Amino acid sequence: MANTIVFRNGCLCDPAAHSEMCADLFVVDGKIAAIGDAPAGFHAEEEIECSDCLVVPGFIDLSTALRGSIQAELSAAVKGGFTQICVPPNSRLMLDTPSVAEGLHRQADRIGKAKVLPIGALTQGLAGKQLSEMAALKEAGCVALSQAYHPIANTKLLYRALQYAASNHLLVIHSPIDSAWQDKQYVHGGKENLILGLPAMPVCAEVSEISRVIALLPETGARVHFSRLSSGRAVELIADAKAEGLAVSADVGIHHLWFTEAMHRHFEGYAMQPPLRSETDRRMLRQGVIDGTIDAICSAHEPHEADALLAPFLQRPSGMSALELVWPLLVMLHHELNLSWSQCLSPLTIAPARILGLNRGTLSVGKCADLSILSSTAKWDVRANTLASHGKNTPFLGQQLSGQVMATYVHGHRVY
Amino acid sequence: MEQIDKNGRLKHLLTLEGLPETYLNKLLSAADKFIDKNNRLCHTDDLKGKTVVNVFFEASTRTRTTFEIAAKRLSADVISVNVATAATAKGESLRDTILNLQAMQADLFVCRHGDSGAAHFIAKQLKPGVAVINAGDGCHEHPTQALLDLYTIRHAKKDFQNLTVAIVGDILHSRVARSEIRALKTMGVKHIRLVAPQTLLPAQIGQSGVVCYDKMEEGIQDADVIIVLRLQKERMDQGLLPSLKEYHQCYGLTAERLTLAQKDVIVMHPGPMDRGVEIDSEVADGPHSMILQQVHFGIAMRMAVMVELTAGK
Repeated sequence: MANTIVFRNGCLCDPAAHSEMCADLFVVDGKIAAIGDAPAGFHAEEEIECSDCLVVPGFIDLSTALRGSIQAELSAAVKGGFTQICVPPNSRLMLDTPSVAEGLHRQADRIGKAKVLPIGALTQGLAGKQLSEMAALKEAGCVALSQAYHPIANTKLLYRALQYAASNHLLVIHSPIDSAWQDKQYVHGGKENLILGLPAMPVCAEVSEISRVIALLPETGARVHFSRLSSGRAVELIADAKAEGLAVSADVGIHHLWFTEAMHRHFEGYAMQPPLRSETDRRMLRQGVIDGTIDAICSAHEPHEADALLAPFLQRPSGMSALELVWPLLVMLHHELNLSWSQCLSPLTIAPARILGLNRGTLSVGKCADLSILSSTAKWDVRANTLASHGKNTPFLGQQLSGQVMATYVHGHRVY
Repeated sequence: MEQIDKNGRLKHLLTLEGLPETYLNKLLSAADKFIDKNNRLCHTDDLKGKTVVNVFFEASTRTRTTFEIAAKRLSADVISVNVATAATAKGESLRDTILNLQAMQADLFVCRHGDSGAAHFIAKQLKPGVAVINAGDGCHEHPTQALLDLYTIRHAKKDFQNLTVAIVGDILHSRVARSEIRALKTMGVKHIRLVAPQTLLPAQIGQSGVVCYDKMEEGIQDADVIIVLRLQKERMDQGLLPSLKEYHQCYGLTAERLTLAQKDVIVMHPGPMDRGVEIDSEVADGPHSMILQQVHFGIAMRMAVMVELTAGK
């Protein structure tokens, strides 16, 4: 593998600097050595032609579920332009002990695709009863803590968990759903569901949980990131909290920026956690991304076996396969909302890097060469055999989309 | 899952959504043919040689029986599978159960399932030419019940447009109500009222062209038709209502309340009734009640739907 690479003629897009410029980018020993002119004595062992492509910092995902083959999902990550993915705890991957986190790290390193950033469980077994060994989890490489979709009903315990996480200087990633609504699959209680008659989760299940956590912040000193917002009122709450100077940030799943409850017409599509909501909610989520109230966009990747999907709507597992669709969806949003590439890419690069405190997500000299080469015009067919993820659960199956990841580099090594 | 083919004919009856007034009228008129002038059900050969399979994943007596009778009156071979106690209890998936029954040469499935959307799912699994009638899926739809209710209303009232129809009770969990509201709107009923506490109404229902009432007396004032829905006992445990007693006090259809409606009001109920809870015996058995007629008309209506779905196949 080459130690020196030059990326020729690409449009370098560095959202951290709000810059887009056509220039060469030079990598030496896994680090960005120069932009524009070659560093003194540089001899390229490898030349990558990037004309008509964007050269961007590798995407960082705040929420990827690993299921089935980890190899397949890490391949999907780099095929989607991701160089780092956060993996939240769940009942099958219970990241509540250092050994599980270390094991996951080791496994990902062996595969050598995207780097895995484990998110530790906030409480043991996600049971919401006893705090996890947060210091040990941090030591084992967990970048944050979360209860994922196992909300803690007991406010006193949540208060203490936030205090203890703050003492360990650990970010808490919070998926805001009131505990009473975690029992089964829900959709938005909106006009589409008047026809469908599926169990409904009102917006207040989300906003009451956000309000409760925000109320705990001044007395705990915790830093909280709200993950996967679904409603306009949630965006307003986050904006208010930020205006008050509280240490909060937020993200939205890419599919919530594209779809609404209308996806479920005739019981089509996939149930989502949290639900896809109304047109107004989608508009406010998009506006939140544009004005920065919502810092980041995550994939909310949920790959599922084909067999699991052969069931009526409510019995199908929730979520969609997303890692490989983030870039084409961003291209669509770029056109539809008239956004600059910097605006589109900041929520996937520098913003998650800042939230997680990672020294990544930017193209400046001296930084690690985690890069993606993107074409916004190349078309590809979304088919079961073109998706690297073993989850083929996407409504885009059978469609042709614009926006292809041409190559992905982690630490200067080509991984896709 | 589209239930209408490119020639505008029904492949399945999954929902009343999207079926135009002319189509509903055609189905209602088709049902007329199965009731003779002495108000007796006819016997025909329309489904001779066809196999109808009733697959009920949820308990039912009335609906299953009326479908069975309807199929037999059309000379079909009928099998009823009570799946609640059969294969699925052994872990077989819904899809496998349906594919196995299809392999046994079923022409028409009549399905009931506890999940909204199950009928759509089943229809998707079948090969072309095999039809599904949704006999109730979760809180989604129960289209033949709404059709037989339309038939009953038409029998008693002749005209739909100028009617005031009040639907009383647990609208939120009622597939009957969802089908009913759709059907009444399609038929041009101007005044559709829903009478229930907010806990038993779907979110945003007020924006769908109906008027909601939380007071029974106001909701049934001058109504031409009152459709009373069953109240399931488990609703008390879900924090939706405090007690059956209070429900009866606020929303029970009593003889006294019935005097607020039009003099020629008809009272309907999809059954099974809980007397003394949502409806008093005096009303259920009284002169305004059409409840047993509904059952009778239901057979003719289901015969009409079965013929529509199998004709020419």
